Amino acid sequence: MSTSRTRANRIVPAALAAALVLFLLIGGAYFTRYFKSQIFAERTTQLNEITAQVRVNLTNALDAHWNYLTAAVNALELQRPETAAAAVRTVGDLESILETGSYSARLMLLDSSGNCYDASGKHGVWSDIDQISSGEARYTFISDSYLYQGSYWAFVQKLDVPLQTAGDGVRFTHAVLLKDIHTLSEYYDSAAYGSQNETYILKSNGTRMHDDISGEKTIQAYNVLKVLEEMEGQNVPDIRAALAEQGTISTNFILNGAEYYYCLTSLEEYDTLLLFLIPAEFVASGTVNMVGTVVRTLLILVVVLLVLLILAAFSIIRQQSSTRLFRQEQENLRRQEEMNARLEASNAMLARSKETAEQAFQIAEEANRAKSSFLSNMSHDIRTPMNAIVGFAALLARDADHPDKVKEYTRKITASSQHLLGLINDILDISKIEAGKTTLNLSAESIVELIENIDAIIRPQMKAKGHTFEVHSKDLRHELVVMDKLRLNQILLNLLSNAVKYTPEGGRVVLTVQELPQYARQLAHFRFIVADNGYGMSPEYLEKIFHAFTREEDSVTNQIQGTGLGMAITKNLLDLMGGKIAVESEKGKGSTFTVDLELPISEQAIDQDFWQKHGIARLLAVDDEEVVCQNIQLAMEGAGVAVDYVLDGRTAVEQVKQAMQAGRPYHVVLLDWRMPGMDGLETARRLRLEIPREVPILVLSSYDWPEIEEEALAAGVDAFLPKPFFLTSFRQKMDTVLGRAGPAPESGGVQSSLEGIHILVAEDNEINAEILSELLDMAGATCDICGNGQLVVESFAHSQPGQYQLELMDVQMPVMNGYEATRQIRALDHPLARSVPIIAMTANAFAEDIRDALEAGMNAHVSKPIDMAVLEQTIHTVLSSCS
Amino acid sequence: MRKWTWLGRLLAGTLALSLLAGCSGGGAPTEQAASAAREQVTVAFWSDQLTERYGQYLRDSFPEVEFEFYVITNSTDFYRFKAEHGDLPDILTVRRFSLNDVAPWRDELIDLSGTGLANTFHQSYLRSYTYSDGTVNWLPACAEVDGLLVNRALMEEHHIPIPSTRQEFMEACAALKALGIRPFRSNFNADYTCMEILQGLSIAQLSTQEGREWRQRYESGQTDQLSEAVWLPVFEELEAFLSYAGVVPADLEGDTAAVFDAYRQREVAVIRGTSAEASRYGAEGISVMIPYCGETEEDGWYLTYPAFQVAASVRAEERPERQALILEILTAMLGQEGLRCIATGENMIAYNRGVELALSSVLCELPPYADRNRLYIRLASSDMFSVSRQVVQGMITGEYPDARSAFDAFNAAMQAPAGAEAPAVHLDTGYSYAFRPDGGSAAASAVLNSLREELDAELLIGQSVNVAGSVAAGDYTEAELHYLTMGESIDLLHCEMTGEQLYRYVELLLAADGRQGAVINDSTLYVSSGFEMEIRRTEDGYALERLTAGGQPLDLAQTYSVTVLGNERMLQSELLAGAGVTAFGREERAYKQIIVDRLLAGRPLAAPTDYITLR
Repeated sequence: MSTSRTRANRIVPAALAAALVLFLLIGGAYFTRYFKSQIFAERTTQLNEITAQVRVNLTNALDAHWNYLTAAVNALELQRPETAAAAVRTVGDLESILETGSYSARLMLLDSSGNCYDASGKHGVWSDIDQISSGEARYTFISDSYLYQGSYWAFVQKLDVPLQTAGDGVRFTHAVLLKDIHTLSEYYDSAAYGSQNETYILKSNGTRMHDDISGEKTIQAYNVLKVLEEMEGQNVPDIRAALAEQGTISTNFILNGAEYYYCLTSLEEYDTLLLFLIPAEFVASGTVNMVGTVVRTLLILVVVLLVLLILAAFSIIRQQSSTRLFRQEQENLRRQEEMNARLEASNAMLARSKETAEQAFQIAEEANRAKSSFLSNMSHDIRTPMNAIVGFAALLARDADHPDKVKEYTRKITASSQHLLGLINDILDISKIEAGKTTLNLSAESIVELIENIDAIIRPQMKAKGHTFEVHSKDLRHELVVMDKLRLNQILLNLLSNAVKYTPEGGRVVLTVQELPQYARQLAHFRFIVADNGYGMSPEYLEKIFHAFTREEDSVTNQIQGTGLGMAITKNLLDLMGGKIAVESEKGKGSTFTVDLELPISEQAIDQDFWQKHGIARLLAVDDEEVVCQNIQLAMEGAGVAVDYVLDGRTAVEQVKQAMQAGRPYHVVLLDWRMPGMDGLETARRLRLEIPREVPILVLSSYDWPEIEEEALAAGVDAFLPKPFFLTSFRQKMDTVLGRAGPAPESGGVQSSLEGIHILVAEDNEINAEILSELLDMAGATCDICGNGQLVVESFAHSQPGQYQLELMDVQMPVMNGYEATRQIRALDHPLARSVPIIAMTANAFAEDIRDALEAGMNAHVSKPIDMAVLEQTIHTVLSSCS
Repeated sequence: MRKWTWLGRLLAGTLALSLLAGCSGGGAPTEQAASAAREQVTVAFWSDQLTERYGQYLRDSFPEVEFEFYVITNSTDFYRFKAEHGDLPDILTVRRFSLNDVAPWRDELIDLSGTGLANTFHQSYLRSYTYSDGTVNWLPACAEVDGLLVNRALMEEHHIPIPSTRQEFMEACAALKALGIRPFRSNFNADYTCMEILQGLSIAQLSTQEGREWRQRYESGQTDQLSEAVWLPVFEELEAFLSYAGVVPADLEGDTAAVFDAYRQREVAVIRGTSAEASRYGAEGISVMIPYCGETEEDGWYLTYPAFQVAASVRAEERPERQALILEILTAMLGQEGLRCIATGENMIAYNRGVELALSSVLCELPPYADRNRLYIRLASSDMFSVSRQVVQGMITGEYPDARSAFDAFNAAMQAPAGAEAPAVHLDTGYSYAFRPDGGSAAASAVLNSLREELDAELLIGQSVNVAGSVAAGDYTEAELHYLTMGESIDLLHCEMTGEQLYRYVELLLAADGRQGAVINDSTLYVSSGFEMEIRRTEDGYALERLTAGGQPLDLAQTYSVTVLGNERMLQSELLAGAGVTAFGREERAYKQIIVDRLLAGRPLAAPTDYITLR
């Protein structure tokens, strides 16, 4: 932290400094370029202006000389001298008249041989005679004539008619005005440059027009234009083209490290170029000086600003440094305090950790102890039934001749075996759950059927212990929900079994199923409450009730068989389902377990038109418990059936009468069996007298139907509906009563006989096969046994249709397992291949195993060891569903 | 990147050197390396006169340069031919020059207009060399003055005044004739003589306004016909001159040397010539040069023309360093020291500023004429040379009996279509002129071996510069075959020589410094055919070590028939005499023509031999 802050402290000023330098560099570069371009523009503009003046001046001057020459020629032609000597005199006269001397000019005549005649007489052939031999009327050029020292601008006029002297036959062909070129300099020398400029007079092709190079020092070449084009920094690549286009160009170049500016202008009528060449320092020097001063001033200002900036930055840095030091000290103090606090916190944490570790240690010890205790209990629990089994088996052998003892011993062996089996199942279940291998097998199921099944299973146990068992439903609006029916069944049975076990005989156990308000449309919130008035539990045990391998050490409960795994399994399964479980208990007063579950509502439609189709629009409920009546009202909401209720039998009879009289008869009556005053039996008799026979009267009761069936039927009752009231059950019952389905066995009992059924059995274990064969034989069924899956497939394949009514399929077998055998059977061409019932009969007893069996094509699952009652019931169920 | 550039230059340099070295074998590695270390510059001389002093001057001025000299046919057409074959020398010199003739291949040459060298010339002269766009490729060396050389002693002896007008000249001719002395003779066998006399006699006519305007039209290509108004009087003047000066058809025989011989021997009183010729042929002391006479004294005109023009191949611009070197050499060639090495170093008129050349007594008459600018620059196009020779000779022989017929013939010849000449010969093999220390010049050897075969001589020796550079393989027209050898006539001397005399003769050749035909450097060494030379470099030049024939030492006692290719008067007669050879005969056929005839006859050049070993 400190290092990064120090780094940041260094980086920020460095970055600022770099940015400043960069800004200055870029700004300086831009500034320099800008001023250079401005100066260049200023210089070239100034040059152009001056050159334009010079050009005008020079052109005027040259034109003036042409005028002089024209005047001289006109005068000569007028005078027409007779001899060459006269011509010479005439030239002298004309010079006087025209005052050629005043502007350093001379007049000259040329004869046809090129000889010169001036005021002083005849001279030799003009050295520039070749320049006037192209037949033109006029020529202008610079002559370095040998006749006169120096260079002259020559104006040559070819005479229209040669002047022939009559006296000596000389033929004058041209008149020439020679102008001392140096006197022309007044037209092109500019005071603006302090005589620092060089003037080059060139032919249009760029070559010099004369030899005098005294004033031309910079470019020592014959073709000046060519040299200019090759100069460094020259930015006009084709000067001739630019000149032809613009007439005048101004730009610069570098020569030997020095910058020069030049302006080149064309005097087309004279086939001449004027080149002005000036060292850059003399061009627009005032402007440049001013700009230089400004730049210097700015530079000084920038430097001063920079110095001030640096000082300020230095000061700020120092101040920041002091502040930073102060802050650092503060920070150090704060850190020290923090460190102290952390140390304290660490100490506390260590203490807590120590405490936690000790607790963990205690927990571990406790777990270990629990496990040891569990193992001890297991040992005890396993050995106890085993001891009974072994012992009674030995007694069985000894007392084989005493049938009563045999029956007694057999019953006890069976009981011990069942206990041992439950123990083993629980152990395996909890192991699997804890290993995370348990998965939910979800399907749309009826919550009503679930409760009914549970009721059917647990009620006998309740009855056996003399408990009063009540099932209440409350506010149920959604019967069909998505759930793992087996697992939920397991959970509720665990709770109810515990209630049975840990409630003294004659106790009371209540199961309440309630649907709570739920705002998520797709979910239904169910609450299951199992309450008993049993032994209860200590608060200490309540804390660990859901831990595995725990059982309350209690002199009373120790006498009760249990694995200590049931609640752990329950809790784990609820966790898996996203549910919650809570428990309230008080020693000696009983316990209440509350399970909350949110289950997705099934989209399978319920036949809503059932009631309308059967003309049932009014219902009368008769129960002394108003809650029950209200439940019925609630459940029937939306069914299109108006529900009235009364709380006693007498009122019920009156209500029916009045309804009949009013022309609004009830179409069905639900009648509680045990009511104060007029009980259900009497009420049923009286009602039957008032209402027609076709109006059903159903008994809604917690009683066992067989106990009251006879007298109820006699009293005119049509059917029995167990409490609590479930719409689905009610509808099914009504369907039966109204004749849509055949009369259901009202007892709900199990058909115990398998008489006449021929079964194909797959079982590889010979002992198991023998036991099964004997058991089936006892039940009146026959069987053919195959030792593996392959054999059973073949046997079925070769069987006559109807030869086997069903198949019992072991799963784990050599050669071919039961799943594969089932799949192959289902795939056979046999007419009954797809319909023959196949029941899994295996020691693989978990939910996953059941699911696998069903997915393989089996119809049901029965776990080993074989419980004949379960097997018979399963067989009947499967056969009835398949038929 | 720099590394590759350097390597590229090295490779390019190597390639250039290998091309220069030719393909015929390799020399000693060390000597080649030493040679390669020096910058090589090829200079083509318009005449072997420049081997007298000029070549030596260049050699001494640029010791770091390896010069390769050869002598060309004095015509810009020769360079056009070379340019077409990509074989232009680095520096070109030519005497016969017309800007119109060289314009078509001007891009092959450096533009000198932007140099300070060009700016040293007087503008009035430089204008003649300036194209309309300002380009200047050629620069003139100093002007030779051409006029009439009068044997002053002879005239004085016979009290005949030196003429200053046409009339006086005619009277002198008549007087001389009366004395039995030929008044005038010239080498009318030479085209330049014919042309210069034709023009010189009528300068007054040619320099009139009409004459000047016609010339400008002609030189700018606007006409190829002589103007009758201007030129018919010229032929009339010549017709009259041939008559009163006593020119006869026999004057078409012989050469310039013979003319000077007669002049010196007082057989002739007046000849056409230059001060340089007077000096070269030993007539300076007896001569005075008068102008071509006019009607009055002041109407006389001298004829002038540049001793030669100089240009440089544009190849020099490939490297700035080389371009600078070439410019430096050109500056030296056209500077005062260089100009003084041309011919006698005097009697010339400088075209550039800051150069002063002395005038000898021969030109004592010149100053007043020069002051009045009565110096006419000859019209020297290639056509003008050849047609003038044809017509003037025709007038001498009577083929053109009068001025009109001559004028018409001239125009007819000028008008003759200059269609593309068909190739006459195909040379399968080309030879490099480059000198190899262990063999010599392959091109020179091939030509001289061919010459020896044609002459059926046992041994032959001649200077390498007599071969005009490398011989390219390919097609040649008959005219182009002439470009294989130097242009001027040169003597072929047959003699008998013992081996010992030959040894002595070669020693003398190597020692002949400052003479026309002297050895300047390796490229100007003599070429032997039929025998070999082993030569050693010395501090002063070269020394002969051994002569062999077929690899065996030459028998010193044996007599051989030897042919010498060289200028008899300028060098060879003296050296032969020095070797003890006094009797020799001159081959009637010209060296150049022998080679041309051989090739036209279908006999290719003989194979070159390794004729020299230079240590």
